[in-house]
Amino acid sequence: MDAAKLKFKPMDLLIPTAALVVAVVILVLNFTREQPSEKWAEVRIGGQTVAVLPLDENTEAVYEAGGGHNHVTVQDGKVLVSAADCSTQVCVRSRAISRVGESIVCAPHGLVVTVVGERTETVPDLIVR
Amino acid sequence: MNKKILSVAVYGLLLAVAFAFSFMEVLIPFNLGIPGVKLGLANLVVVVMLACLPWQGALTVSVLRILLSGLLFSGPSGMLYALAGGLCSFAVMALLLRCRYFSLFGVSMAGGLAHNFGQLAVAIWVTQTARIVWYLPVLIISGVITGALIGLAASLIIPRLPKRFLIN
Repeated sequence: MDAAKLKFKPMDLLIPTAALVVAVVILVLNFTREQPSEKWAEVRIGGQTVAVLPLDENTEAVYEAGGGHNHVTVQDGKVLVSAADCSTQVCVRSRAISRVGESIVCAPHGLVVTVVGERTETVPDLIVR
Repeated sequence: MNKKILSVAVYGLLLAVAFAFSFMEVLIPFNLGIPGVKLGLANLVVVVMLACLPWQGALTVSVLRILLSGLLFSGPSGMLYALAGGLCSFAVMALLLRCRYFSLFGVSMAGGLAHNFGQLAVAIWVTQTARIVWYLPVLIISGVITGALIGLAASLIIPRLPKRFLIN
């Protein structure tokens, strides 16, 4: 082991600096996007849209995803995953979202809740099996 | 001592330490208060191995650790994420370590970033949702912080390793 590798070198700063610049650019891009008056929470499981919930209407729904369940709650113009039986519980601990483009991801179940500004994808009213 | 026997002992020990770190993080998650983010203590073993041992051995221990903890703790989907993150981070760190302009701090921070990029790529593929790239700033900042912490720990540990552990 080269002992010089153990001491901080000036070029090391390049990595966090470049990373921070990219992070700030993405944040600014995200927050300067205009917010439409009507918004929806799009629920996708494995890439398939299963529901589009209007954000101005308080609702709660349970979805079967990846061998488990996720409770999605819309409240006061925000959407959150209120309960889930996944192994990581990352989706449950994620804060409620309301800005277009924000997502809550449940990786173990392959479920994503995203706030969208337009209803681009149509969902069947009823699926008969 | 026979070099082969020493290798078996050292790699076995390193795999056990890495696995113990994985287990520790299951018991006590160090998530810095951000959902989906963790310190990745097992990565400390990978950084130390990359700095002190041949990369082939380091890669083997790293992959075996991910398979073991995947089987025991996180399940097949968790294993997929861990493997993507682990391999991306390993490749980036192995390359940057050969570049003389970077110390272990830079290498480890780049490894943390690469790990998170790999995991996000798998998340986009599994969920088929490109929009989750907006989570990138959180992953970038946490990757740099965890990488710096792991780099600091590695730079303190390496000079204290017994010389006869350093098989080459």
